[in-house]
Amino acid sequence: MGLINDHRLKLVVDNFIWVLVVFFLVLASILIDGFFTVENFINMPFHSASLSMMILGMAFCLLSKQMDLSLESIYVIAPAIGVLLVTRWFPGIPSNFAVLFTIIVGALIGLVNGLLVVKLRINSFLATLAMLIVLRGSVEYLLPVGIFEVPSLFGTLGADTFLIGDYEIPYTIFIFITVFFIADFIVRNTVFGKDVVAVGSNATAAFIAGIRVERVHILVFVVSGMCAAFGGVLAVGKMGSVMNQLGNGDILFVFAGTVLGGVSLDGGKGKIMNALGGGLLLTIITTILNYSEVSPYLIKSIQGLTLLVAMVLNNVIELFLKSRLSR
Amino acid sequence: MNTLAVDIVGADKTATLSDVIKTAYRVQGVGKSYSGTVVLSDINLDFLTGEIHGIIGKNGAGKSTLVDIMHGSNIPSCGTLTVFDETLTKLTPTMAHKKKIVLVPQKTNYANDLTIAESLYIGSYPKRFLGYVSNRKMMLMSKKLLQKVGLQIDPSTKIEHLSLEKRRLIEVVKALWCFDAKVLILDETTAALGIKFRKKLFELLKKVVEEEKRTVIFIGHRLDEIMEICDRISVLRDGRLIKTANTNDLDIEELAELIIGESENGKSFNQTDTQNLDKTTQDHCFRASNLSYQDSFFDIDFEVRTGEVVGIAGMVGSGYSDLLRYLGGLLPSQGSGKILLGDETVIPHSPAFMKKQGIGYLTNKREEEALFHGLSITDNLIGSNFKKYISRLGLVQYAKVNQTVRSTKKILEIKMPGGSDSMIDSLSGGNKQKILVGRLLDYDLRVLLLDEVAEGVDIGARRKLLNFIREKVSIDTAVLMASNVVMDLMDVCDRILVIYHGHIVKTFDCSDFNENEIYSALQGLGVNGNKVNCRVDNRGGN
Repeated sequence: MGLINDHRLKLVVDNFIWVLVVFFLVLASILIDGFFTVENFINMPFHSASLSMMILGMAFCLLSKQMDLSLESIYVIAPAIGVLLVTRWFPGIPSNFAVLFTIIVGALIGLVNGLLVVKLRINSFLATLAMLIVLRGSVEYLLPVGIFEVPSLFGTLGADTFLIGDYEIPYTIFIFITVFFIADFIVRNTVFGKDVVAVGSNATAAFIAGIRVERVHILVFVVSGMCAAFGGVLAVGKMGSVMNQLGNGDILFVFAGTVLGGVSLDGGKGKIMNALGGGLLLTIITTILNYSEVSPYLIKSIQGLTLLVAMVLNNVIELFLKSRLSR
Repeated sequence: MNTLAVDIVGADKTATLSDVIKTAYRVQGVGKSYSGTVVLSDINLDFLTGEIHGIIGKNGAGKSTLVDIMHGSNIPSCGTLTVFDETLTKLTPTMAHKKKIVLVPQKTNYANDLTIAESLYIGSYPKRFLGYVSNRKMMLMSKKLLQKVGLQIDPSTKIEHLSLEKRRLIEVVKALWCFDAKVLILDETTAALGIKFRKKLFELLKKVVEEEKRTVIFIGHRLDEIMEICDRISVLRDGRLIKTANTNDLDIEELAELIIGESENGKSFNQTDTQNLDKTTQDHCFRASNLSYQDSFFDIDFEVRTGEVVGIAGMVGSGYSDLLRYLGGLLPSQGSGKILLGDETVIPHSPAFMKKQGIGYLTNKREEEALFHGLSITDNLIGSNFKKYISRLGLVQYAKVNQTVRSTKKILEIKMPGGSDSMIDSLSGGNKQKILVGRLLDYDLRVLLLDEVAEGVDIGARRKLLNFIREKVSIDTAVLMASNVVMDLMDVCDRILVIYHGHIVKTFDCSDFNENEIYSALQGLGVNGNKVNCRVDNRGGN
């Protein structure tokens, strides 16, 4: 039994998402011609970047046992307002400040979410659901046709590449993975991160232990708003435009990715880096579907089905391994 | 009803009972031990049809274990259970339910959104054809049941709008008529009840026992009520059955003596006078005067000096938990009275505020209110105190954290087989509690408020934990600990205040600790067996 000891098994259980990622990559590489190429392996993380930023925001929320459905709307309205500020409303401001404004708008919307949930005691699902609709409506009003010219910094962050050998690698990949590492570090090594997890694990116990639970929850919403706004920056940069339908419906995939990444809906459980794996897995599945020649009308249902299978697999194997561990 | 009253007052009931009555439930040679520690041994009990049988004993005497075994949620290490002449090798809660053995547990999770009718018939709704639930029929049936016990409430009232007392009564109604209990086990059901509802419950129990020949097993704490309601009483002590006797053959002092055993007089073993002497020279640390809070406690006065351990003894529900929660800043509104820490007045706004003042609170609901489940032992130990361990950059310095973990582990002798990174839930109850005590120590507090610190801690660990509080914690801290276990308090406290119905009725100095007297006082009994009506001030001692 030297090879499979309890410690290693536990490691596998805790980071099962990466097993799934590797499994799907290997499977696709074997079965699909042209899947196993450097370009593809650069493209997949590149395309998962902006969605992953929303997943990061959701991970913070779920860790503290809240949820934020408005992420996909923040994802579009924050860059929209940021760009409108420098192009239409205050044309004197240097245009690259738009990125900063975007993040600030994300934080402010997060603050509103937090105050609604904490101070007015509206269930976070309902409060952010309303926000999701309000913000989507607002952005449709603000940008009936979209903006097709965005400040250059968006492009630098979201689309520009540099060369390694013959391959063009987008800065985005490094940027978003760095953000994940920083977030992971914050959760594990700062008081804020420790408090978030404690509050999510048992809010009553945290309150009695002297943690200011309300403040932690508000901050979590601010952080998740900023994450979504930054995701918006990357997405806008990638496409070179702001469209009012950007991110519409993505919130379901954000949920799927976060939960696939092992962040529990029960609060207090999960690792930030595994949420990154959840985002990657979603993109891998989409890519596989694009490569294999299925009818475009079937893609959505196959996507959903694959998600379901991945989650069932995740749970079944986890249960199996846990029962083995507890023996 | 009249015949019933006559019967209870006058007749020698047990003589007639034993003639006709057969055994409903027989417990034979039942024992239970957990990894070597014996919690129950060789219990032989017969519960007869048509009797109310009281089981009484101190906390930790084995009552709850016995109850669990009898209704199938705990498997005995040895012995057999016989239900209506059928000997069972294995009893599960489902089987118990089928055999009409119904438990009304100490704490119930009420489904607050259900109506009374729904909560009565949940799981067995009256159906119409095609399986529709007949709401009308359910309401009618519920109404009849409620009238049976003299409750004039509309059965469509939601449970959340009912007082705790009424909920308890409805639980009993449900057990009796919806589950049709032949053997009804009431686990401290009266603890939450006031006089009026207790009377109602007792009338009801007497009636069903008398007229429907059911068996009621009544687990209780209070001597007076168990004497009032029960036909026979069994006393448990230290996991053994001490005596089963007819109530008529017992008086209340005798019963108290049976419960406590050889009464230990004088002070407890690990205290010396010298310890007390150097303490008296120090300043007052933590004082309260005239503290009252809504209807939970009234006119509470106490003082705890640095280095002192003061105990508050009372029954569950007597107000001590609320007192500590109030002092810890947990209760939402302000009461009246004054709290002084040194010379400063403190108003308990919130736990975070009180922690800053140097006052820490340990809850008695360890699993629900203190532990961070799913997090590591380290995270649970440090809890909200990571602030203490951050570097100038705002990062947690794990080297220092681990140092604290190691030293806490050493001084409190915490066993963590998987290391400090394993989950908190891998620890035993005693070790979890030690972690929580360790968490409070790490706060560097001036005052500790401990609510039932030894509850759910096994016997060996309990002793160590209490000694630790006595010897180490109290050196530079004032400790106020509350419990319903008199022995625990006697072991560690310098003084014990007895609280009864929210009032402090008596104060004992450690030189005149006497378990019997303290126990009587927390029962609301005077030394000679009478109810204490006024406050007995015995504080001239020091």
